[in-house]
Order: sequence, then C-alpha cells, then structure tokens
Amino acid sequence: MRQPSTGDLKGAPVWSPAKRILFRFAFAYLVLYNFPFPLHYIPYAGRLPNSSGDSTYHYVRVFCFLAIASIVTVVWTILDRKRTHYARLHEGLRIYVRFALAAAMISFGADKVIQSQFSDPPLDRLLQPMGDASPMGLVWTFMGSSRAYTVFTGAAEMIGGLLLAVRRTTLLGALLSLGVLSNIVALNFCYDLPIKLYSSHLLAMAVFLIFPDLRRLVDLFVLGRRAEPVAIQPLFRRFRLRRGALVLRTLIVLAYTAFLLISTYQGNRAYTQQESKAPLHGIWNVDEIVIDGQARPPLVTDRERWRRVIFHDPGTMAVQLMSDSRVRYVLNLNNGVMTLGKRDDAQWKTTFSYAQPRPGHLTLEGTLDGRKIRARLHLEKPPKFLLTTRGFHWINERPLNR
Amino acid sequence: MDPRNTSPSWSLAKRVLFRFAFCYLMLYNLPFPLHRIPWAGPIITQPYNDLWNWLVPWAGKHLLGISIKVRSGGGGDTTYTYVKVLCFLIIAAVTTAAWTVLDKKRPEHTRLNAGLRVYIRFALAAAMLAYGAYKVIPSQFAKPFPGQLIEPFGEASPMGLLWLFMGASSGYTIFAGAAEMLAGLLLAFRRTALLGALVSIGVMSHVAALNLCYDVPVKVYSLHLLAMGIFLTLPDLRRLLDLFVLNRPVEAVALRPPRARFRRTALVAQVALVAAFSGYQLYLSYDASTTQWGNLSERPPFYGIWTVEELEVDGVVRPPLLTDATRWRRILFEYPDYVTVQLMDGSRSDYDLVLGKRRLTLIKPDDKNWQPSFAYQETQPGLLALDGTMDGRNTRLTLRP
Repeated sequence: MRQPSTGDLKGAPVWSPAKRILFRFAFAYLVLYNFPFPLHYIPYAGRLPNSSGDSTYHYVRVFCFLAIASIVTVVWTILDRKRTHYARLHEGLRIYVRFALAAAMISFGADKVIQSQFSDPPLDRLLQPMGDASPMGLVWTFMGSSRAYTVFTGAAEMIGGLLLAVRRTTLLGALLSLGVLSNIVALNFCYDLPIKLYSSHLLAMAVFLIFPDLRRLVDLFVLGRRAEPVAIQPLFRRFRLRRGALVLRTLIVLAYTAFLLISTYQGNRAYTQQESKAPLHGIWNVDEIVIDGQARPPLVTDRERWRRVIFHDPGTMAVQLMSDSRVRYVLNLNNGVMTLGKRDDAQWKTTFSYAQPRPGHLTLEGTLDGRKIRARLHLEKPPKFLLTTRGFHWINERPLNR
Repeated sequence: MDPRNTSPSWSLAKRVLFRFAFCYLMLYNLPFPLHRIPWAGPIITQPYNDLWNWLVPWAGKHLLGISIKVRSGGGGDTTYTYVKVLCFLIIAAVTTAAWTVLDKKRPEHTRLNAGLRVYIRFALAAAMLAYGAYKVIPSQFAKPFPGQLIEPFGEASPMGLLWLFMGASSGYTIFAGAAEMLAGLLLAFRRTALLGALVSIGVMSHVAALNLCYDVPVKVYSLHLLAMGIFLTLPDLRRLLDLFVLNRPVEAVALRPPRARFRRTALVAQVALVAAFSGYQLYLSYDASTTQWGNLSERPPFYGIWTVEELEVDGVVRPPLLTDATRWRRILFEYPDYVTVQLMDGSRSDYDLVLGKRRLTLIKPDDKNWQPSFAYQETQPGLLALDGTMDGRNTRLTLRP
C-alpha cells in the first residue's frame, strides 16, 4: 500500500467524494480498456485482441467503455456510500495498469529493436515519387530507411517498459514513457497513423501512473522544496510471499521480453529470407504493352499504361504507372499463373498467365479492370539508390540535403 | 554559488577535471552571449571570429598537414569544425596544466563552478529557444517544394528525406519546436533549471540520434548541447537517484536569494530578457519563412509543376514518349527568378527566368547566349501555351499543371 509518509499511516486517509467518484470511473474504464490483459499474452493459449486501430469499431468500443464505466460508477457510488477511500484498490489498479503499460512498451520497443515494424523500404517504395506517398507511408519510409534510428526509438520504449516493471523505478519509467509516448501520439495525429486511440490511451495510462507523485515532482522540480519519500508497504506481510512474488515478477518480465525479442527476430528472419528468394524479385521495365489489342507507346500522358512492374516480397506486386504513381496488388504465384487481389477489396480478383522465355525477360497476359493486357518486360539493372547507400559521414563539408 | 558541492576542499582529480571542463566549455561557447545580440552581435564578435578563422587553418596546416578552405557549410560538421574542436581541446589541456601548476594552493572552485553553470545554463537555454523558435514558426523545415515531391524516395539523401518528413507536417514540426522551447524556458530560470536540463537531455538525445542516423551535419553541435545538458544535471544526479530509484527523501536546494532590494528587479529583468530573446528568435524565424524558401513567402506566378503535354518543333509533334530522352517532360516554376526543366530521362537543369507581361525567356546560367524566348498565354484556366524559338527552331509547348 502506498501513502504519503506524512499522512496518518494507521487511520486510512479520507478521500473527498469527488475523488472517490473519479476513482471509480477511472477504475471501471481502465480495467475495461485493458482487459483481457494479461490473459491474451499467455503464449499459445492467448490471442492478441484487435485493440489497436482507429476504425469505427474502435471508436464505438471506446464509446461503449465510457458508457459502461459511467453506469458502473453511478451504481457503485450508490451501493458503496460508506467507504471513505480506495487506497488498497488504487494500489491494485496501479499494479494492473503499470504492467499493462509495461507490456505494451516492451512489445512496441521489441518490434523496433528487431526491425519488424519498420523494415527497409521495398523497391517499389524507392521508385515512388515522394509526393505520391501518404503521410503514413512517408513515416514508414522515413523510419525504415534508418535501422539505427529505429533501434534508438525502440530502445527508448523498451527501457521505459522495463523501468515500469520494477516497482521502485515505476515513476522514472512512467516519466520516460510519457516522453516517448508524447512523441508517438504526435506522430499519430500529425501523419494520420491509425493508432491514435491506442497510443493516446497508453499516454493517459502513463499520466495516471505519474499522478500520485505529481506533488513530489512539483516540490522538487519547481518549488525547490524537500521531496518526501513514498511509504511503500509491501504487498504481502510474509517475507516468503514477498520474495516469491519478486522472483515470479522478474521471471515473467524477463521471459516476456525474451519471448518477444526471439519471436520477432525469427519472424523477421523468415520474412527477409522469403523476400530475397521471391520469384521475379526486382524491377521490371515494361518494354511493350498491348491493351485491348492496341499497342501503347510509352507516353507519360497515358493514364492506363504500365511503366514498370516491381516484385519485392513474395506476396506483393507493384505497378508503376506512366505518371510514376504506384499501385499495389496482393500477389499469388502458382505454376505460371499469377493471381492478383486488392488489400482493401477482398472481392476484387484477377489472374494473369506469365512466362519467362529467357532469364531476365518476362511476359504477362491477362485481364485487368475489364481490359485485356499483354505485356513484355525485361529486368532492370538494380539501381544504386542514394537513400540506401549514402551511409554515415562524420565530416560533411556541405550538407547533402536533396 | 552552488552550496550543494561545497565540500571544504576538492580532490586533486576533481580540481583538474573542473579546470579542463571550464576551459573547454568556455572556449566552445564563446562568444556567447555577444553573438546573440540583435544586429550588433555579428559586428562585435567579428574580431573574435577572425582570430579563429586564422588560427584553425594554421593549426590544420601545421599540426595535421591539411588545408582547410571551407569554414562552415550550412551545418557545421566541416573539417574546419573538427580542427577547431581539436584546438579547443589542446588549448584547454595546456591551460589546465598551467593553471594546476600556478594555482596549487586553491582547495576548490566552488564559486567559479557556480559561475560556469550559470553561463552554460544560459548558453544552452539560448540554443534551445533558438532551435525551437525555428520550428514553432516552421522555417527550419519548410513545406516540401513541388520539385521534391516528384522525386522518387530512392533518390533522396537521408537528410533530404528527414527534411521532407518534417516539412510535410507543420503540426509535428511545431510539436518538436515546442518541446525545445519548453526546455529553453525552464533552463532560463534557476528553480526549474534541473527540469529544463532533463527535458533538454531528452529532446537533444532525439535530435542527436536523428543527426547521426540521417547524416545531418549538425552532429558536433547537437552532441555538445546534449553534453551541456548532462553537465548541468551532474550535480543533481545523487538527488535524482534518491528520488527515482532509492526512494529516499530529497532535500531542497538552498538557493542563495539575491539581495532583497534587487530581488524583484532582477526577476523582472530576467523575465523581460527571456521574453525578448524568445520573441526575437520567433521574429527571426518568421522573417526567414517569408524569404523565397519559406512557407510564408509569396509564391511566384505559375507556381507548381507543369507537364509538357504537347511539344511541336518546326511543326513536327514530339509526343511525350519516355524513350525520347531529351524531350522536355516538366517545367517547375518554384522561384521567381529561375525554373527547372525535367527531361524525359528524369534529369533536371535550372534556367534563369525572365518573366515579362507576355513573354517568358529562359537563360542557361553557364551559356548566356542560349536564351529561348516564348510568348505565353493561359488559353484556358490551367492550360499554358508557349510559342517561340529555341535552338533556332519554332517551338510550341502546351503545359498543364
């Protein structure tokens, strides 16, 4: 149990009615939002809920949480009129929120430290005009183009999470998470990333954890007053239980962190291996294309003609149009037949037959959006991209800003 | 005076270390605050800068055997800067040795340390406020130009991509700048200096990581600012550890109050100075953003990307075929006095632009005799027709944005 050491340790402090109501609401809402944590983290048995996203579903879900939490608060306030404080329940809620936030920070961080959230920009991205990218695509390319920076941001998140997992360093971890999450929330809002709700909730959880120490922080950092220590009362009276809980917590945190790092690493390696072995991998220039029986010369004003076809990972085919704009299709290659789909339209589907008459040459034939397409392509020499080859320079007589 | 460290006497190692830190940090930050003075700053500090502009090439030539031509290249991580830092290190080491020999009897440097800390605090605060102001009114990272937007990602330099990333969102740029200005403002006041130093460590770690990872040539400067933040935090490390890890009581720091009669005046003067400095930096950023690179600059006529849809030379049409490498593909009107022409193969050249009421003339910068001139007219909104002579041939172009 955690109380200011100046307070009366024997008699529990009396909370004002407003504080009690606020706490009931916070309790109901935070538990609803984080549940089924930690059950979904159980390896194999648990399944990650669809909790991060900004779809209508997620907004309605948050609305439901708010409505339920309000009703719970009203009923609870009526039924539990006599209680003067929730010090012990607050302590429990803090532990729950602390570990939920720590788990999220460690998992966010592991995805970056192991380069799976932001991977190296694919070939079709490197050929895409920058103005053609969505703001989110810009963030992904920006992060993906520097492994070191991605690892830096991931390390900051993991350190925040690990500090949160230790009771003594909770405040430090919450403050570091506050800094890191403010940046993430700002990125989400400024670049239209669809993790606004989730990242804002994590930020709010960090604030919730800092709240009880606000007084001490203001005393120390602003008012120049003495900051009192916090009287930490052990969770269990018995030494053995205490020791056991400590060992268990340490083991779980370490196992969780290691599990995330290893599984992310393995998934990432499998993906990278797959990617380099992708059939047709590379940039293919469209030498000739016949649409509905008409040969189409490479006019930059032609809105339908393909300029290049790019294969990067096995599951994607990208088409660069004559305007240089990029269109992506979900790809499935099978025995000379390629099936194309659209990520945002499950109904949409088409097939092309393909053949490689000689190495480095490709022919495609099929129907796209009701038009018959026949194309002859050749594999381009892999270009040396400035973005991926520039490297690190201690000395720059002139900045290379282009 | 900083009474926290007022141990009666310092160890020899601590004294030597302090002397070195004092010399190096002073050398690195001088001529602060003189160069921050509006208008007069550059003039006052000119002789001081001249001294270094003589000494650094001299040291490069005689100590390292290299010739230094460029002094600063827009960022700072030039050979000149590295040699200058080397000079600082040598001078600081020599001064430390001499000082240690001459000043053997002094047991501590408490007062001087307090003075140094005030100096570094304000130097760092000024840097954070200035850096921040250039983002809060986005001028450091302006909105991307049309010419950048048609370039493929792969052809951007890492620094170019960072600039585009920041410039693409005014909201994020303002957020980043606000964090820097917050650190600067907190640093400017004694009570909140520790918090300010901690915020600036957080912010500058991020900035230094960006500079190191995206090849931005401000590595030396940003790492120094980070080091200054750490220097300001060092004496409080113990207290921070007590608060955040050991859960011990953290004693208040007895700040020596200014003399009672000056207290109010001093505070008012300080607030006024900080406000004036911040305001001036914001004004500078506003001023910079109204120049031809900035967000608030007036866009020249025809601003944007124009695709050369039709091109007719001596009555013969040259269709926009990608395979016709030397045909003009796009004309970019970005600046009042020059245009960029992109060919079908993607290459670009800049031409000086003379824009009359009805005539438009391009001039090759390295061949002033090459001056194609066109009569222009907006035949319908969003369609520009040019008619003139280029390379001695009648040339007609139709441009569409």
